[in-house]
Amino acid sequence: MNATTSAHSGRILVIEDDDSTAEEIVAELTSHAFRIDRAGTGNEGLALALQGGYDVITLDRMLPDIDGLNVVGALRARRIQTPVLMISALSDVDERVRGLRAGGDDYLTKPFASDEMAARVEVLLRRHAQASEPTQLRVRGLVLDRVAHNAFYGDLDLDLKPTEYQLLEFLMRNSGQTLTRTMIFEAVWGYHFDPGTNLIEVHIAGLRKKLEQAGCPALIQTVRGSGYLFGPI
Amino acid sequence: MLAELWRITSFRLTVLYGGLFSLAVVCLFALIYWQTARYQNQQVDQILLNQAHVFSTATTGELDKDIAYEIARDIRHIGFFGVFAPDGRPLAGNLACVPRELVLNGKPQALPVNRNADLFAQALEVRALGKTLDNGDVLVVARDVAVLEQIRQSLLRGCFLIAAVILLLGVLGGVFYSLPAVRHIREIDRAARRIAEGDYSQRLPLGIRNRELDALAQIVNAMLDETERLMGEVKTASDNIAHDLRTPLTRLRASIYRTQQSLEDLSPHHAALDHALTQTDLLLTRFRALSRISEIESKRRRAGFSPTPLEPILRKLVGLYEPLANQGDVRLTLGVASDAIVDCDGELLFEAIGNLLDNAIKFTPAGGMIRVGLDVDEAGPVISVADSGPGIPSDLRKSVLQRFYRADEARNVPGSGLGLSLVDAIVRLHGFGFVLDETSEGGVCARILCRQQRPLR
Repeated sequence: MNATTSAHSGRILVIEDDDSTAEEIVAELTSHAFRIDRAGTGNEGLALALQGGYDVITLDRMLPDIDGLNVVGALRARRIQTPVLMISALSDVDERVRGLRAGGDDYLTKPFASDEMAARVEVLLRRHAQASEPTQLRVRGLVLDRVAHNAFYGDLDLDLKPTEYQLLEFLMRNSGQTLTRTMIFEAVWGYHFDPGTNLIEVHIAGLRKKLEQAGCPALIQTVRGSGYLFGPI
Repeated sequence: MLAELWRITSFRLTVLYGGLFSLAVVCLFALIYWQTARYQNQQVDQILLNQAHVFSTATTGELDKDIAYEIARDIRHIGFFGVFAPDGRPLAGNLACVPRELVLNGKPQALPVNRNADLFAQALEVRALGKTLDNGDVLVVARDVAVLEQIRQSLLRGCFLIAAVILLLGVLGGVFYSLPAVRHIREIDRAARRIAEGDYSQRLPLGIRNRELDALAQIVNAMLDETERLMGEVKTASDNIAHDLRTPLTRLRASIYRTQQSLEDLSPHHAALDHALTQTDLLLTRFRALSRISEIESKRRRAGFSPTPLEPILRKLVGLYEPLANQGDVRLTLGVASDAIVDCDGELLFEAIGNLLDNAIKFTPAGGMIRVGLDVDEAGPVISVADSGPGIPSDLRKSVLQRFYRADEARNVPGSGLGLSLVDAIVRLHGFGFVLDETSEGGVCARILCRQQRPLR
């Protein structure tokens, strides 16, 4: 899977005072075909964000002039709902909670892997684009019933355990997007530490096995060095 | 308490001085008594000699009258007189017979009162003189020296009273002076224990009265300042290394990743780059774990703490780790014997137990089993993770909590050697206990004792 081939028309605002971090973010997002504007201070960023027209904002928590929390707060107070990915050197759980409570949509700690950052931006972009969440998700004959909390392939009930259902739901809701292990762990289990490589791997393997047993084509792909992706090849 | 007081030098000194003073008082009184007694005896003896002289020089007719006169004159009834015929028959005076054990040598002597109770009705101590007169009669002059006895008794009473008061004052003074010292030493003891447990921010307290102890405490505190500074430097250095290396490592990983992404799918370089990515990830995981430990260790707030039921956490954990255990053909079971709710940071506790489970799964051979348990003992809820693996030798149980420590047997098992350090850090933040034990089958039994107490920091 080659990232540069997936075409986006999303506009991203990067608010980041540290040059090397900003360059990294810009480079990675450009390679994902986003259009980027960069602001080096909180005021500049806030001014750009208030003009609107951005699909996602990445926001450094520690800016020289205004605290990142206040930037989000100011945006939300003016009813600007552009999704915000907070990026911070403060990895404490309390800081994450504060960031999300202030109006951030996701939280990433420095230093981060740039593919992880890009994956999170894409998920935010997608989530924002889906105005309403359908009660059923369908991919190639695989049906996820979000009311009954189960999944079918054809007429066959996959008989998923609650965790397997949540995993499949997260994958299908973000189908076509790379999801890192950390993102999966956060979304399905709700915890924010490093789950280690194998842990998510075996859960994915279990889900794949259930899909395979039901005769479903292989829909969960491993993205080398990154994570997983749901969707037809 | 008393034993503790006894260890205080000032207390012992005061009690010792009190004792010595009491002894001195007793000696002083003894001397006074002895001197008084001697003087008194001399006085009485002189009277006895005088009377004997008067009586022995008198004629028979005068003697009767003289004795009667003396008896009449003695209004206190302390004088006893008697003239006896050689056969012992009383001739004159107020004595019925010659006192027993009286030596008739004309010298004053003390009479044993108990042997002559019939003669000296209420007398306590009697001095007497007896002599044979020229005509063969026996003259006896005696005098009750009760005054001396009274003096002795009141002296003795006073002596013991004063000695007791001095001793009591000594002990009280000792207690008064030593209690602050005892309290001070207790505080020092408490602070020293916490320092020994690894809390280097503690200092020995300074007292009010105890200068020697304060001087020592100040020296120790200066040493602690220096130790804390050095430890802080080492820790900051290693934390900074971990932090500073993470950024370039993350960038390194990003460029490897991007290089790999730009390769054709069938390129032969994929395998090499995969390997490079895996190794970089391994490094990053370690640095992340290291930063995480120092983050938890430096955490002083308990903002994330709330009363949390333990059972759901354990169920979630077992659900998370079960597929991993099953993959290695290891059975993972959960036994809950308590509905304990504990004041803790649920997310951190989850992470800690997760690390224990991760370890257990790594070291349990196929066909084995791991038991997660929640029980209650006297001190509070106990979370246990017991496996059927090879166990940790008892001499290594402390070392495995050190950062990067890996048992020789574990060299070929993937891992950073940081898992148990992280568990230890989280448990210490909570003020819980962490025990590594052996199961009856020889496997590891790790227990987190959730006793509710004040955390260390």
